[in-house]
Amino acid sequence: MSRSGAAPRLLLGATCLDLPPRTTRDRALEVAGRFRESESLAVTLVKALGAGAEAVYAVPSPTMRAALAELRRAVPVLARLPHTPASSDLHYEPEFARDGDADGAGALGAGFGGLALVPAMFTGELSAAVAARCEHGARFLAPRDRRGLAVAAQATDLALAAGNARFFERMLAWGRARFDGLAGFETGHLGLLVKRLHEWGVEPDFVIASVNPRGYAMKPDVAGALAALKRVGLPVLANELRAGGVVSLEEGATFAREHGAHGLVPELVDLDDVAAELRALRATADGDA
Amino acid sequence: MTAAPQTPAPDAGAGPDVRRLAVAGLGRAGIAHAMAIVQHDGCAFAGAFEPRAELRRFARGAGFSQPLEGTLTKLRERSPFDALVVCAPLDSRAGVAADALAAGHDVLVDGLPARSLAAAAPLVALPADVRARLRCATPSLFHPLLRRGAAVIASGVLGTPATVRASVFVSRVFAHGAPPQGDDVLDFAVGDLLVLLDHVLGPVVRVSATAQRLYGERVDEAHATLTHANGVVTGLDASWSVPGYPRAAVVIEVEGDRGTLIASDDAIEVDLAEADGGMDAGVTRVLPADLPDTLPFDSGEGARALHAFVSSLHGGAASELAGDRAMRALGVLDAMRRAFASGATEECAS
Repeated sequence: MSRSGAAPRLLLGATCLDLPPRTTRDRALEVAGRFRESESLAVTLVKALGAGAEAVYAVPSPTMRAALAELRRAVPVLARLPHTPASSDLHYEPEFARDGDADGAGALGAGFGGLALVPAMFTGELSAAVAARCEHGARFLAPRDRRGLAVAAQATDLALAAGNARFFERMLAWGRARFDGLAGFETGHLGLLVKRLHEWGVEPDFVIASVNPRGYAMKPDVAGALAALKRVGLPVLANELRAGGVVSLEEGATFAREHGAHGLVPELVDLDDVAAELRALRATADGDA
Repeated sequence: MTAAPQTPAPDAGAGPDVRRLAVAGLGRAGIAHAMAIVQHDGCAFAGAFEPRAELRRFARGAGFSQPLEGTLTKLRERSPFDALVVCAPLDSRAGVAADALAAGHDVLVDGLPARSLAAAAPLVALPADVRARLRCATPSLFHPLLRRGAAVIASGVLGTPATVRASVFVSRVFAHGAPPQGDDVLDFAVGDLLVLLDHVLGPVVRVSATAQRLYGERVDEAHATLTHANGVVTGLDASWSVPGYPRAAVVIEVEGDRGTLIASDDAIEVDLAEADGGMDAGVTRVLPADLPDTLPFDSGEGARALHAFVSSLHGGAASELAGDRAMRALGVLDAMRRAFASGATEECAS
């Protein structure tokens, strides 16, 4: 069952350093330039945690690994996996069909949790290949830094579209065993995902999805996504708060909270003064709690 | 946690007005189209054919329960369909599309149908009335911002275009020992831009062009001057590598006697001398979140084109999908490659 109390209230989103962010190109370049040096990113991570972020939502990419390596302290990372680099579009094959370990054998390292994947390995069900890719990414995170797993939207939404209920069940069992007990799904289709999870009786610890006052990237539509936010027992962590840069962070955060978001995931591209803005969001979150 | 029930069939219960669509090719584009089809109210997923067994297994493992066959013939025997979405590798698209058209199906090709007009020979050989059912979808035509930009140009608020520049930069840096596999920058990005330019400014009739090859024999940078049938001249630049951000950049800049436009997949800026077309005088800036997005399920850049295709099967207009525009783009690509070699201005096949 879901442990909604375990889902974080505030994360610093750093996926924009490695994935196409929903913001203007100028802003994306500016932020990428700011964190080109791993020391800069490391300092920002520490500031964010000091300001009340419970973890960093990030791809364990070379950029992030270099920053973590700069630090001698634990930095809790909610890992967005598998990593789906933009350059994958140069290949004909689908994202999770290219790996040599696509049968999922690489994920058996999860010990008892790996047992959840045994049926998938025999049948070729998607969770085996996705968990193998997650396992590959997890190798780059020190055990002390693992705060949880968020299955990347590319995998979530593929299984969602195809109606693959087993995928969600197996990824949760494996992810909780492998990532310190916390596992959930990132999605571009909040309304449909919440509906299906309810039908299937699958209860992740959290879902990460777009929530903002413009309805930007909220699927199937604004009303459908907002209705999903109100589903009891399924914590939704809101990202894309600034709707690609057209509203303020404060406006986006207020909208998300008022409509039932459990937590917030402001990205680095959404923040100008990371410490001050996260501190303000933390104070509001603590006041709501 | 309770045990998850059996995987449901998303298209179960489709009504008689729902068109049955099949997919040719289960690469990344084919999977994305299968996702969009099963979630679309106006069509049902009839199945797919893919010669590579491991990709059929992958699709089955992802959860698609419809027939997945190794040939078009087998798929047709097992699961009749009305229309085929061709997402096969570039070298086999034209043949697959031609077979399906000849068999009486409506066809949507994801991307250009071939690398050149010669490679599109199976389509060229079809009777005109059969080829008329060919539809081709290139991403920029359906990008919300670029569509809005095209509408601004078509509205005439900019006046007569005097200067047009178009560019596509795909941020990829290759090592000398590991050049791009398969396609060059023309195949990967320029064809898409040419279809957009044809839609916005009309057919291109002649080309002069130069190329740079950085990683081997393939073209990595292209610079061209395109002359449209209406006399407008477009300067085109294309390159793999602009380091710093992972998303491709497609930009069209138009300078007219009454205003200017910069339209990209990032934003639109219109600067008008006088208020017109619902826009104030001065600069109007539009970002993605400023535009309505009515697509209930978005499986990627092909989803909007698929939506238009399904609408066309139900009688809706879909002029952006016209296959002859994609065929003209192939003629321009051919002319560009000839111009690279000759250094002269080359005429485009009509």
